[in-house]
Amino acid sequence: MRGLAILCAIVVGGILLWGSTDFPAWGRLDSPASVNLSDQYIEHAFEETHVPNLVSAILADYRNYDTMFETTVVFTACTAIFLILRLPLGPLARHRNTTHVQAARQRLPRDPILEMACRVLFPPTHLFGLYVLTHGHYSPGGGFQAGVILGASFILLAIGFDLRAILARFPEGLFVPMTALGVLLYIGTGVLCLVLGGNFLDYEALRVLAPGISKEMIRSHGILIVESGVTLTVGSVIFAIYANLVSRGNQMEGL
Amino acid sequence: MSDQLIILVIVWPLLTGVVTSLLPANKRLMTLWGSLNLVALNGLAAALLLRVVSQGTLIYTVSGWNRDPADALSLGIELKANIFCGFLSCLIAAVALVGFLGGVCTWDRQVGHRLPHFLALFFLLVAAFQGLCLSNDAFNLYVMLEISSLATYGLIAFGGGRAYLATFHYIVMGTIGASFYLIGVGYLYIKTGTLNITDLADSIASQQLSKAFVLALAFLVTGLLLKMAVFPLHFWLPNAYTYAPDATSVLVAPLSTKLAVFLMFRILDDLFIGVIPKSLVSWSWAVVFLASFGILAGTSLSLAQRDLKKIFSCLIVAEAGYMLGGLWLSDSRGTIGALFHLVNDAVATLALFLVVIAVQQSVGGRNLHDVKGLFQRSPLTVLALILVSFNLIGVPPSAGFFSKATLLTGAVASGHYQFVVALLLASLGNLVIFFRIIEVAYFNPIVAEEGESALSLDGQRAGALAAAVAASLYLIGLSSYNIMETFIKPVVSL
Repeated sequence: MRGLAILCAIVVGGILLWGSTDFPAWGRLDSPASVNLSDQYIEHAFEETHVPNLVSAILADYRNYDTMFETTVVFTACTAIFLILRLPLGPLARHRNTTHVQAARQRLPRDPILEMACRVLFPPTHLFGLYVLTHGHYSPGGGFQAGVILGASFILLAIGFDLRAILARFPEGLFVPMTALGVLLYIGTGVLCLVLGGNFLDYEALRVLAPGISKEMIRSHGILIVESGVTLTVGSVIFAIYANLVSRGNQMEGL
Repeated sequence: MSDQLIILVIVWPLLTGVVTSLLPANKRLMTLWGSLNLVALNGLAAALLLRVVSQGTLIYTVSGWNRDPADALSLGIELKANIFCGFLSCLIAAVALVGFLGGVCTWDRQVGHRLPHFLALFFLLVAAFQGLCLSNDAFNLYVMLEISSLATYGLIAFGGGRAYLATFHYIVMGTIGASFYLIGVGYLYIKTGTLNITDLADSIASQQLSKAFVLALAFLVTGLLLKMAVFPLHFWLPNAYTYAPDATSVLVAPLSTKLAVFLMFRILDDLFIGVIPKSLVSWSWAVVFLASFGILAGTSLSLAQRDLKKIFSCLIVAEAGYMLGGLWLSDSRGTIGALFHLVNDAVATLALFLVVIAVQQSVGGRNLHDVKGLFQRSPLTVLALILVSFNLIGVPPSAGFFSKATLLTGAVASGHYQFVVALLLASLGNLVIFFRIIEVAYFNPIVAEEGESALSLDGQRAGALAAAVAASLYLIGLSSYNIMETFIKPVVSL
């Protein structure tokens, strides 16, 4: 069976390689991928959106509808994991508390060096996450990356201390709704554009709310709004998935 | 304003899904909230269909990036609703509403306190189905496939127990299918430099058909064959659909594989429009052969099962073969038959899975020996079963008769006699499958035991719903000529 699988992979890979001999030469200027749309984006993206980072402009403006659904994918994954893993807080909870106390007794003593290191790292990580979000217009970065950094900062604390200590400050009642609120911010921006008379997610329609801003700048601001939604969702989803996976869904005791 | 209908049809269930996850797990509230939103969705989809019927194909540019006038390539993402997309969108909305209402009675047993998250995935799945139906962008279609798969995985795995392993198989196969689709899209992008389906079709038609295009088509088709669960690639489907919660399977089973069929139709008909008849005749023969084999295999698999839900799940495998074969017959009647069969099969599968809920609620099991005395307990359920079985066997004037007749005409005209034989044998097989169930349900009366005399109201309701859906198959059958002429023929080229 294993041999068969390897054989399949080799055959499919071989077919793909064989097909790739038909591609235009690597990096050629006259290949279809470089002449048709790319030129449009490269030449006009800055004038049209005032966003120097081409990737952000395409991701969050030209193809923002895709990005909305990519954010929804992240949300869907989180909801699915929550649906399957999260245990009920019903009559079983008391029983689990006792096992939790037993587990706590067996736990290793806390490590002050590790805790201090996490404590020191946490604020800069957060700041860096926000920087990546807001500077996504100018440099590599954006909502997804910022969300991952923010989520990772909470995971760092959860590893350095323990899950319960973090959940006391960043409880489930906060981060689970946050996963939905990020997506809602994104979709809500789209619906707002629609209500204000534009097409869905056409940021230009938002000018009604901010008359002094040029139609290019409003696109730039629109990108920031939806990217914030992405950050909110991705950051909380990453932590929610971590919290449910490491504690087998009871959110009592982490790693 | 009516232009915005197309995006509303997608965004409405999406918003509903996200908001649902924030609501409390109150059954009454959820029933009201869900049915109101789905009724609104039905209204929107109907309005979209009216708009498309009266004013022709609607093309909508999300985020307002209209086509560049210079070389007329689409910068942003387009949505497109032609007359069949509008019809399919209505069908999705209707199936979602009926499936939702049919699933309500199983919540207590199978969903419980996880209701908000369960329904959130349910609505996200509806949004993804609508997106698959209306998108005009090859990559956006992939994103929609991704959401629909992820939501389906979650909804199926929630069944617990054996559903976990079934979901794992589904995840592996589904991921391979999606990656194949993505590789195909990637190859097309390298050769054409665009993702918009209209532009892609223009670009493909203007270029020489080289091996990269053939490979792209092969990968797209293989990926979708996995999603459609055609015979050798089907093994994930029966278990996944059987062990899923009933409220899941009643939405997933009617629509999931059918939308993969619709995607394949779009790839063949919209994308490779000028290419198919010329150079792929040699292939199409092999695909039709695969489809014929799949029909027979699905029917025989179904014959071997004793669990009602598994019997019906295996039938889905067989039905996928009907539509696949129809699309590849290289005869326009085959394509028309396949699309009409898609509509017919979505409704028939919905009725079958409603029957499963009714049986489960009224007799507490869904094995073949559990349906003993079903006729006494829930005559409407048996009526629904009989009506659907006539449809699947192909008795006039059911929709199944007309779809099979169209498929057969196409098969004979294009000389694919093995497909004709497979269709006829499968009809015979369906006769045996359903007669087995109906025989047990009708002729094996149950000896009344104490405490069992009380009829389950939920079961009766689900049975009535199933009978209504099954009866609508005959309405579809009687108006089959109109449906084919108005909604299907205008979109089929060849």
